[in-house]
Amino acid sequence: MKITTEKAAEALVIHPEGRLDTMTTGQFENEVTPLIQQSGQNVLIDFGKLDYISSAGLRSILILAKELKKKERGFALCCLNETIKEVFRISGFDTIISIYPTIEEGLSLLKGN
Amino acid sequence: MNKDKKSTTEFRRGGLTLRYSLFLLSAILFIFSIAFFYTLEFTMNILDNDAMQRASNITDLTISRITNVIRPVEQVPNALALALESERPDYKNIMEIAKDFVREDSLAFGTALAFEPYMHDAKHYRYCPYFFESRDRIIQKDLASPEYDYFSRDWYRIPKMLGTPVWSEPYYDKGGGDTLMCTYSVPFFREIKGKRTFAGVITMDISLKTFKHIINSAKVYQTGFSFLVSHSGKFITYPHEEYVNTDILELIRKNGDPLAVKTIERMLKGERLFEEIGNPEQKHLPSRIYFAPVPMTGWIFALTFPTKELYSGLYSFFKKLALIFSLSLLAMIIISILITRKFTKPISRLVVATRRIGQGDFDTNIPVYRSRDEIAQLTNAFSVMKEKLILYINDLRETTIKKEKIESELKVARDIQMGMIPRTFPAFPDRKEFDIYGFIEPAKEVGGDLYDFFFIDDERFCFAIGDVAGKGTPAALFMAITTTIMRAETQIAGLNVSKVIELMNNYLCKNNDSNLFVTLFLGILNTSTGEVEYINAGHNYPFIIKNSGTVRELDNTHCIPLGIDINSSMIQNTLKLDHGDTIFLYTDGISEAFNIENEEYSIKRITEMLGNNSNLAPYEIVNRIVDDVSEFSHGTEQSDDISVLAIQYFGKQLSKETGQNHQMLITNSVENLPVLAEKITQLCNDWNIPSGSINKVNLVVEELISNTISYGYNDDMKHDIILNFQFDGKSISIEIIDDAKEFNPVATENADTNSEIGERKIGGMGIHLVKNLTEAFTYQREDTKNIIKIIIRYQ
Repeated sequence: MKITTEKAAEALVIHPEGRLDTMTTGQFENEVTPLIQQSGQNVLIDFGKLDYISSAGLRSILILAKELKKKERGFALCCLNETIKEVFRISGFDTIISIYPTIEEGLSLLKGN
Repeated sequence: MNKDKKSTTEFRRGGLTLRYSLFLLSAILFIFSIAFFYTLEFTMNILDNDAMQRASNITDLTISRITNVIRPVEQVPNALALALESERPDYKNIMEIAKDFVREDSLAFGTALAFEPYMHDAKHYRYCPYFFESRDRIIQKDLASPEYDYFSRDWYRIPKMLGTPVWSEPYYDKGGGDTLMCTYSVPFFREIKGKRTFAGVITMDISLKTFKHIINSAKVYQTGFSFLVSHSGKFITYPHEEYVNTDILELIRKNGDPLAVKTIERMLKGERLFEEIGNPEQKHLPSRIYFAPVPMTGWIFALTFPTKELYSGLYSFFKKLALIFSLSLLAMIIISILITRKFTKPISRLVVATRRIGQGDFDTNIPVYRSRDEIAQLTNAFSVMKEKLILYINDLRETTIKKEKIESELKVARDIQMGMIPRTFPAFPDRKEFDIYGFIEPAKEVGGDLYDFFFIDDERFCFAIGDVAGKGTPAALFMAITTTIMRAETQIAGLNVSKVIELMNNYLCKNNDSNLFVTLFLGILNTSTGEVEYINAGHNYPFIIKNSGTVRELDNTHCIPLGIDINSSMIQNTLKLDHGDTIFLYTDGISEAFNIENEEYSIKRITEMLGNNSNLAPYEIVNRIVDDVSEFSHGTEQSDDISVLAIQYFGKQLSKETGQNHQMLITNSVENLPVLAEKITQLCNDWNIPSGSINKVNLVVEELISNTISYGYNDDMKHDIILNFQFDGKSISIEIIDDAKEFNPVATENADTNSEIGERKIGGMGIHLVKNLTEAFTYQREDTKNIIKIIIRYQ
């Protein structure tokens, strides 16, 4: 999987591409965790180019969310495709993680926090 | 290498110097010890004999002194008894003589004259005058009182009974002399009516106080002492006064060495002995005792002294001797080390030099040792060896450089060779008419095997497998030429297989100086009709696996390999593949793989393997065969290149929307999950399932399979998980069968979807997703298998 990041004024934006499954979660965690620890900013993960997520991926997202919550940093997701949205709904993650339709909305609301 | 290190190598553990010194030392120690103990034993014997002699002398001397002083004490009453037996004894005079003797003699203490009833005169029942010495005066006492009752006293009773003179046991004469004494009593007789009748006794007492001085003066060594016992075992004298008149056996039994009782019993029998016993008073002080009877009296004189005093001189002597011995031993060690070191020094130097040479420092000089001995010969041999070694290593270095160069070139050749063979799969993800999978593994760095496939045009698909005779670089180069011209000629000659082969054969024959040849199977598949035109130029017969599961070899024609005969005719054949048929091609690296027992893998085994796996996709079939071969030949070196190519034909009619079945297989490693996901995606695309549902199928399968792989197996073995897909146009049913340990995912608790983020549980989400994304989700256990069935509704 390919992961790119971008530093906006409001938040650190992470763009994972491809599949976040049993095989790629390790890579995702290894790349993303140090970035988040270094930055100290709020975090927005853009799922626009993410095709697929499995429970292993959900697990990573939950761990990230918990860690950022502890440090009182904002965390949000945006641009989820229909399947991923459904997975978040089924898992109940949409009740604990803020999800926005676009990057812009995500950034402005994170700034509000 | 510095000096310190050098010295440690000279005297290291296991070194010659140390070993020789130790050997020498042990030998000397052994011999010295024997000599030492023999001398000790010998000296002790001498000392023993000497001690016995001394004790014997002292004993004899003391006994003679005792006899000397006792003799007058016996003689006087003996003489007086004779006088008393005369016709008219002058009692008064006799008593005067006795009295005078008591006064004069230092030992005699008292004297008594005791009569039988009325024997002195008719008036006196008892008559017994007694004179004794007290503070240099003679005192008279009459013992004829009924209280004293001399008739009952031992000094009177025993001589009367025996009729002979008797020495009494030591006793305290209460009412008589009132002191500790021994009494010599001599009986006297009178002729009455012609019969010799006992008339009384005349006695002479000796005070034991006076007597003990004689005994105590007899001493040996520092604490030795002597004593006198009566024949019944009572101490007459003893250094400690309190034991006088007590029993020696009692003392021994009470305080002394119980083993000594026997010796003392022998002593009391009157034997003369020199024995070792415990001290009479202290059992743990081994002592020597010498004893002998004193004549006449029946007394026994004994002399005792602690054994250690006997050897005290010896011990100090041997201490000095041991010190001298240790010092000489030390001197010997030093000398032996110096000597051995002198001999081993050249060897140590040689070791240092050899070690340096061993580390690659060939400038080290082997030390010169001018002598004719073995060490010099060894040194010379090493010098020669070093020179030879330098030559050899230089040689080797050059060869290695050359070899490395060749090897790096070979690696490039291998990279190029592998680059020529299509190895990306799936090779044509957008072509649904067939599925293809290939595998190649050269035995050496570069090999002579090849396979290749490519589309000639949109419909016709060319595939080939071949094996160049020989291995290594020449074979690889020939293989490269073969594939290159095959691609080139196919483009030129178009659709005609026999034309392509003919052109290839021409080219390979003409430019073949090294007489190599290649076996080749070349086929062109019409992806629309399933027809295959092919030529088999000397290659192993491929297998056809029919969709019904039957397996057969494609053995109808065989031409000679390419590159041999420019005029050979190549016969083209045609074959028709039906939906689901697979053509399986391989090189002899498979069929002629050997195991440890030198058995061949054989075509028979390939046939069986294909028969058992006939329903699998090309990827699975190829991997099964390759794994089986590698398991079969485990422990042996791969003898030949291995190449396998499998093509399964589906044809155009595949993309129907209803009534489709498909089986997939995955071995239990999460690394296989991406390939599985790709295959599922491809299958779903074939069945025209929209991407949203494809993701659902993938998600459900991934959750269930990764769960099984991660938690289901307790061993390191490979396990297959079977997936059966069924599509009916409205929904997809998936059956997952595995042989993992029993686990019912349907019965798991619901995952946490409600708590606050801080408390939200991290696990259990996978099964939760499966439950919520599926129309049906069932589980059953059959024998050793878990069977999960799920249905996902088609959107």
